[in-house]
Amino acid sequence: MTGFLLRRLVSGLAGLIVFASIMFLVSDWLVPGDFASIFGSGAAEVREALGLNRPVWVRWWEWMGQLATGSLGSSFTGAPVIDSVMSVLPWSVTLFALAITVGIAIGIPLGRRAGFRDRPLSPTLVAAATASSVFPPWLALLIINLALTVVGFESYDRLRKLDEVMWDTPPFPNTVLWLVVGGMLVGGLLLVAVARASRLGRKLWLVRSFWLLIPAATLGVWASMGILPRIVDLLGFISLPVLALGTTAAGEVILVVAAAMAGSSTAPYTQAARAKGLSTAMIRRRHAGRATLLPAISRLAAGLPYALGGLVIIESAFSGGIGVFNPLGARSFDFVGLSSIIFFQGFQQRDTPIAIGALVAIGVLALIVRLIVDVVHVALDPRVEAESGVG
Amino acid sequence: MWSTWRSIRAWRRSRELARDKFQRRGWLRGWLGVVLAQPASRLGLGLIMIFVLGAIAQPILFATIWPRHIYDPRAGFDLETIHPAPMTWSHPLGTDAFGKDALSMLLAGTAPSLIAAFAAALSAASVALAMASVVASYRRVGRVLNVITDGALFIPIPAVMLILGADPRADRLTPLVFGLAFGVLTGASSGAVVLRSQALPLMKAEYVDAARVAGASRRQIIFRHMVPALLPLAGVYAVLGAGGAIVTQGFLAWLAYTAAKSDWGTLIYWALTTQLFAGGLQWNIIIAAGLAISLLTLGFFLLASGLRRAAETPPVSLRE
Repeated sequence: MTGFLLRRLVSGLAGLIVFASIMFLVSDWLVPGDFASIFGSGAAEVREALGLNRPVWVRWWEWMGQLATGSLGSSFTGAPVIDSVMSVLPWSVTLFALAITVGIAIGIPLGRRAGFRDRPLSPTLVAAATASSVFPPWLALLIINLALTVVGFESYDRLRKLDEVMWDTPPFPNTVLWLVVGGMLVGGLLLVAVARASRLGRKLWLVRSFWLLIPAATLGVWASMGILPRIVDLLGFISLPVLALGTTAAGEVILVVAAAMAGSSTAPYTQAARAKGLSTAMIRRRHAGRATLLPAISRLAAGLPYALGGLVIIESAFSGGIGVFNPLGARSFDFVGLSSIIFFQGFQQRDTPIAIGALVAIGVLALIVRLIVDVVHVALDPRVEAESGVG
Repeated sequence: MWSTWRSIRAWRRSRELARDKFQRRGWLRGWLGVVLAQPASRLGLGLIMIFVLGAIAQPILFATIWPRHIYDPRAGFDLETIHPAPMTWSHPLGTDAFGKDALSMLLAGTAPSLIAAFAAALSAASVALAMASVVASYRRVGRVLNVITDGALFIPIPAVMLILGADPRADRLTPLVFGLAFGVLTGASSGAVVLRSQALPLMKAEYVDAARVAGASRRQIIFRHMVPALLPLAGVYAVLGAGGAIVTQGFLAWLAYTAAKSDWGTLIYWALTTQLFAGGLQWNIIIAAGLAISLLTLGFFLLASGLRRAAETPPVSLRE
């Protein structure tokens, strides 16, 4: 497993370098009117001071050198880019992780059901296609207005802001968010490990009790650190964006899983299981569902660019900015994530290093997601590891 | 139990019918027949056709019943009502805060979206097809292309499209350019990955071996065997790319970042920005424009799901 993951990590890093270079060159050539042009007649001096008049490949090489040391360079205002990226990164990561979890938790059972039934225009499939093709800012607007009507103005107002008294003392939101993401990651990987071990274990009841034990243990760790109320506050704040992104993600997952399940209801192994006298639900879950899990996972991994694109769009729909939604006539929601710093600092203030830094952060996020998918893939199917060793 | 057997028999029968169609009519017409046999893709094509008709309808409406000075999507103004007007017979979707007719603006936004969608479909399919067949046939170039695909998989496409259209004054992101760029990015990332995984086993197929032994060149193998076999799946990614392009174009227009001034996203943008002096949110415009984006995208997605089913019914030459 370690060797396989290392190989995937190296190839992923190579891809990341290509991606970062493309982003650097594209934004250098295409973003019109550089930062210095803001200063009018003093533009030449600013360009000289920032080194913007050197050839592009020199700057690219210097930037790659900085990237190798883990820093993202400094922005045109002199502040390190890594600081502004790290100040918003936990929000984006948490939103992405929670939404993907929601999407998978809703999508896999519904997708299996719809795919096993195998009717092309079943309500689930049409709803899923609608959810994954909906215009995200519109969805965000609907969700905000729905929340306003359902919970009322008072509760909505509490929902969209963090409790100021509670957050006066450390730990601050970013730290807590990292703990949340870390807990989810460790818990998830433990679950995979248990799933892998459960194939070997005889005492099934012992193994099965782990499924509940792991989330309980995660909650227990958070509670013992005394951050549980803070987590609840954060989850309330982030719940509306998660609902929006989770809806589109669930639609996507349903479509992919149903497509992978298509035809499984007439497959020979299903006939055998049916002849054995198993119930439809059991066949769907234990036989067809497991057999079609692998193609579903590889298709979901190929859909990663769409998921990241959705993250960018949903984030900007919930950030009070250009396209601000004002059902209250005021800034109604203020979710600041990676896409906010791409738009507001990167484009509007023409601070290109920040935009590229945020894009690289999204790339690193994608790399980590891909490695997690690899771990799950190998845990479910050892052939993946063996085949990659040969090739 | 009996119902299961009956469904199996019905399924086999449909496969046989599809096979007959292939053999009698040549692969392209047979394939179209299989696509149209899917209810999902019929519905999808119907939705797309509604929008195509809408784009065609606007000039006809201007020529017949819509006076230009009232209904022009950029400068029209109706002196007889107070703006924004609610939905009436003369203004079926109402007017916006500037007095322009909402239905007229909606129809004007149809053509840019369709152009972007078709451009994206075409470029996504051709880039994915070209990259996959080159990777399968030429080893050295293929390695370079693999690295490019791996890198492209990291790209959040909407953010890159924002870089392309970063300056609102630049006016260079026309629907055609937008669609082409979006399609290239989609095709080079997820499209190329999926087609590649289909193309590599194809090179080991017996009939490709036979062609090679018979002296076929690489180019002949690509155009005679690889491309026809990959085309259905490329079609799926073309249509998915078109759907994504519409949503992303709406997103950019909603941030006022595109060259087209009468986009659906622009409609939402203005409905949101003018709400303070329009006296509230104009739900009629927002719902209409949002629904237009969603329904056209849904049309492409349904077509794609039908295509995928057709693509998974292998052509006669690949069976048994």
